[in-house]
Amino acid sequence: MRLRSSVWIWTWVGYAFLTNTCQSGGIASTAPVPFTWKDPVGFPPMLIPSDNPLTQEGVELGRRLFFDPVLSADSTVSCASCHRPEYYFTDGKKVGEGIAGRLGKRSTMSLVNVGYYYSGLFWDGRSPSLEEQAFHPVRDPVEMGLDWDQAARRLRKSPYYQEQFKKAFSLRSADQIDRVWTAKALAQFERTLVSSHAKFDSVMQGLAVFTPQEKRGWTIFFDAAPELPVSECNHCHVDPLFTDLTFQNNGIQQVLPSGRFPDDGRGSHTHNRFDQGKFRVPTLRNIMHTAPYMHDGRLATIDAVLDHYAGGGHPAINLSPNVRRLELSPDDRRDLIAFLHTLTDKHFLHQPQFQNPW
Amino acid sequence: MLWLLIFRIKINKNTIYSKLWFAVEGGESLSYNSRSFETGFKKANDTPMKNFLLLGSVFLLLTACGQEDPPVSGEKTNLTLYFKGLYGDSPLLMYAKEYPYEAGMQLRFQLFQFYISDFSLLRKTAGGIDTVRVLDVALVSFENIQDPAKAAEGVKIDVKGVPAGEYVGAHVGIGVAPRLNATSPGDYKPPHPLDGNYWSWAKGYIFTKIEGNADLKGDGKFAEKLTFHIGENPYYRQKSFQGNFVIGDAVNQLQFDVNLRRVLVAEPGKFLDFRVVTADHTTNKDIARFIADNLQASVEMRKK
Repeated sequence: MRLRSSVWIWTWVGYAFLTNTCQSGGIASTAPVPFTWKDPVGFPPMLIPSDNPLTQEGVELGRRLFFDPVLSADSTVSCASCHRPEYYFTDGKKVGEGIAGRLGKRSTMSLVNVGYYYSGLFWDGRSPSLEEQAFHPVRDPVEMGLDWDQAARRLRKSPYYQEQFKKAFSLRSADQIDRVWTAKALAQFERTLVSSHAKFDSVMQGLAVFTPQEKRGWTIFFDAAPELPVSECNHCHVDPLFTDLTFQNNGIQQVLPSGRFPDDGRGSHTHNRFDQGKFRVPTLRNIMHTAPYMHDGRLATIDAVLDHYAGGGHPAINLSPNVRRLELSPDDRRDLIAFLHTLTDKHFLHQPQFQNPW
Repeated sequence: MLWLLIFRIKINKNTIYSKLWFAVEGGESLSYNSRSFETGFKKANDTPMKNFLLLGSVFLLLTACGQEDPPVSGEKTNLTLYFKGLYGDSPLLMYAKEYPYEAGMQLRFQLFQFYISDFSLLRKTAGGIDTVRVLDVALVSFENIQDPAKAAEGVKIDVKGVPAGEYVGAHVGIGVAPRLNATSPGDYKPPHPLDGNYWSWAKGYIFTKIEGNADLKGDGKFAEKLTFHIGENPYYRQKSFQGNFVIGDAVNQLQFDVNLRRVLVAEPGKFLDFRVVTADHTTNKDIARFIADNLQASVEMRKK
């Protein structure tokens, strides 16, 4: 029944040694080198599309593109403008800010472990894959505001990108550079953004132990002992990703007199009235360093988040039944927050392969 | 006449009193002790014996009739299982419908799901009954059954590689079979039925989820939130169904009814009382047993 070994590696044995002899413009390209990959202990296998396997050249090209403002209309905004490494690939702002200071309507989501999200991306899940997702912010007038044809033309003109695309994807000609290859490279880089070295992970592997306070917070978080109060967190924030990848109405928005929500969230994509006001359950990994919180960044602190959940949320027909009034004492809250601190992965912050290469 | 029994439940060393989670109308007096989990809940405790006798009867019936093995072609085909949700006589819809409950309460559901494991077909052989396991595990989720058309179709589960032939029954585990419950989501490549619904702290899957809202006051606000999550091996159940059917080359279907009201109401007057309890995560073992036993009873194979 076990479907995988604990380690799986993209080998491409043989293929990696085969020279692609395609000639174009006098430039010979060779096959890219497979990117050695290992899922962290306890994580599910990452789904990597067969038509976009991770390669060293592809990941590096994706990183270059990710940090390059060339993909924005005025060349001032890159993916990394909102997804900043020092903020665990979010930005610390209430809502995302695009070209010319234009403000989006939703908070920037952290990209840590985004390669494991297989049930739709964005707060409303409207994008089915990282490859498709990359199309959106570039053409969004509030974010990067650049037509993809124009973006591709810019990349084709660049000698550097000509070379890198050919290396990454064995392209015969720079003329083949387009949004699809660009998105594939970005997706490859984003799949490598794995955060799995928090204290929580060490404890789960028997390499560390919780302090008594963290342990009590763990118990409250997971509703794991009847003698302690419940927090109901674990219904949606399921380890190891600390999201169950579902879409929920957590009661953060009050229903308007029209019956709609200020932001319909998932419902704006599915057009299902019972999805209105639902949003992706975000990961809690590194949560103590990714404020502000909620889809619109309305809550500045983790205490405000706990206040919200303790209040039970605004009523709605689809308000999650797991959002209910909580009876957490100040000690309970302190312990819960102590546990949340164990989800911080400082190792992740210092990985050179996640930093700006330019 | 309503006898709402109120019991004192001791939780750990602190003496905390709460009301009994179920109500009895015109029923017998029941004793309950949450600390020892020994209960005078005779009807619930009788269930294993009833199941044993029922299975034994089915086995005897099946082995007593006929002398020759039915034909089994050995060819593999596909089978579709349909699980239709009901609430009493009504189709079960998430969100979109309100249902009358006991003691004047009204219910609205957001999620009802449960696992099935080791789904097997039973075929008669000279030596008795052979069990042909055709499915390891599946999640029967009514989460997206929100309109009558979808309810009429039911939850669809495709099973591939089923040996064609004549069968005399089916067998299903309700919950996650212990051998599978010893695994974890990290063992499976998504999407897979076992890639979620897991309690890492309990090292096991959540077999059954019932979530929704209750209107206790009749004000139409459905203010009470309901969350019942049942897991752990002692609450894994199995059930056999008797009935002759042929799995052939054409479209093959088996249809099952699942009555959520039957999950919540064991018999007239004995029901999960949402005036007293609105959530449980298999902390209260009697609630877990109540739901597991009732779910087992609520699943029926539809006769053609």
